[in-house]
Amino acid sequence: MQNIIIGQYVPGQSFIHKLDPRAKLITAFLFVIIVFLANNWITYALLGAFTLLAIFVSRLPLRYIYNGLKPILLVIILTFLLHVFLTKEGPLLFDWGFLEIYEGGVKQGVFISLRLLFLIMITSLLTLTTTPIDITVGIETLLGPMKKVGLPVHEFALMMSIALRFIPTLLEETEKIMKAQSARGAQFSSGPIKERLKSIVPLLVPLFVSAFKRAEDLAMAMEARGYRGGEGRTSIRLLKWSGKDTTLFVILLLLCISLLLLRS
Amino acid sequence: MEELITVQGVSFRYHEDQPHVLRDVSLSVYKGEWLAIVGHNGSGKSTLAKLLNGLQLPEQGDVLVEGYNSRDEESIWEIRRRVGIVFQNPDNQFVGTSVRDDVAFGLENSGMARELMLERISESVLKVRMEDYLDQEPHRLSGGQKQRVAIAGIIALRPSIVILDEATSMLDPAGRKEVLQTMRKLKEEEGMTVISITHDLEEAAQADRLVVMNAGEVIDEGLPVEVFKKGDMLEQIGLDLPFPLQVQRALSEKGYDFSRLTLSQEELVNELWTLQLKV
Repeated sequence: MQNIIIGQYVPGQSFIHKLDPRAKLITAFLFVIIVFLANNWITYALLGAFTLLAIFVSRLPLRYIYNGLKPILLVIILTFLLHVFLTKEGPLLFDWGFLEIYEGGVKQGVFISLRLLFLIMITSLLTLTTTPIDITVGIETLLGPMKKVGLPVHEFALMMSIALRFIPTLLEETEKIMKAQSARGAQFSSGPIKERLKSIVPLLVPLFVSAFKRAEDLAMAMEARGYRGGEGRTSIRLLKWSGKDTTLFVILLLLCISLLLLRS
Repeated sequence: MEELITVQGVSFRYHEDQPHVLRDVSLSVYKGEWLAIVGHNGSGKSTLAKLLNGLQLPEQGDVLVEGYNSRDEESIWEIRRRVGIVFQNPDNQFVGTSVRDDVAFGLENSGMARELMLERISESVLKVRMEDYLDQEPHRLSGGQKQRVAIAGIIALRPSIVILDEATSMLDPAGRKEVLQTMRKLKEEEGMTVISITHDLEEAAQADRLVVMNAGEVIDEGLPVEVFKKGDMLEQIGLDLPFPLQVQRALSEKGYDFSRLTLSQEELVNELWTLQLKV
């Protein structure tokens, strides 16, 4: 219980870890867009080089990247196969009567799979190298101007940070309730699915009751400490834009320009 | 002595169709004192704490904090800056994701500049001896440590009064001692005024002054030694007398006379071994 890491964050001291969360958020966002610029081998190679370089610089063990890819791997394989079998472009490569594979199909399949692969890798790199609270602060600052149009940016960020704060507390509580219910003969891990779902009820009800009680207490404590919404509030968390972040943007700009020049 | 809080004829109930939780309560809190408010569950003592900080407003009567009336909408924030409350549950009042964030919460609310905040934070964690835990997450802290962080978050705002609302009742004996010692040090060194709301008479015995509440009314007030003379009354309203006092009362029933009331174990021991000398 003492070692829970919320989210996927892997602590580290690399160049990417030390980047401003805002820079990382914007980069991930822009990357999602420029990935669509690539449409030939050389542009995909460029994107691949950028992604692999980022992973290398982050000094993260590769299994973390792989773990991030696992849930999406099936989707990637499926899209690849769909393109291979269904796209009928270019010269014919194989012909087994009922099955025809064209060169264009293989090319499309590889491209689309690579595109997905790069997207997932870059976004998981963001969550692997940034603490959830830093991401929250980053989003809050980036969306700051949206407050003027009435978007509750501060409230959203506060909600996120309180949720993050209470995840371990509620996990601990769940464990406690589970033990208490097991002591009275409840079984959580055996029997058919229907039984197992039913056995969650005596777990959820007390958990919710106590969560509401906590929320009420917390609201009161916050009010007692002078909380009155986001207006006129200052923040202890300071984001610092450094030379590293500007470097990242320059690299991103270069990547973007070369993609535009090299795409066919 | 300077009067910091004045409660004048305050009555309060949560809903109009419910009975009053507080009935015509009047009391004063003086600068630099440790005031204990004791009473059984449901005596209205915790509600009183919420009125002192403007979390609830009186139905009748007034609550004045350093001249600010909690009825004025504008003075509420002045009152909340002057009166801090440490609540019962250590977990449910920890807002930040780390000790530093939590201590900063009240300062952020007041709109303080970041540099000044950092100064205040390091100053107040030092006072509660939590300076080595600034980046710790709350689930890695003990109950007593969390309560000390709560105290740090309050004193960072430099309030004149700290209310401990059953703040030690969910802690183990070590945590309880740690929190009370911290508060006592703050009172002695910084001249902080402390209101401790508790049903633990052992804790209340250490106070400068005692207010006894029952069923929403103040039924007694005075120095702990004076109040504890009325042991029967305290037992009647459902409070457990401190152990040394219980021993003393049981012995006096057997015909032993004590020259004075003993509220701590040390006093009791001293009384006991000198008892025979006098005979």
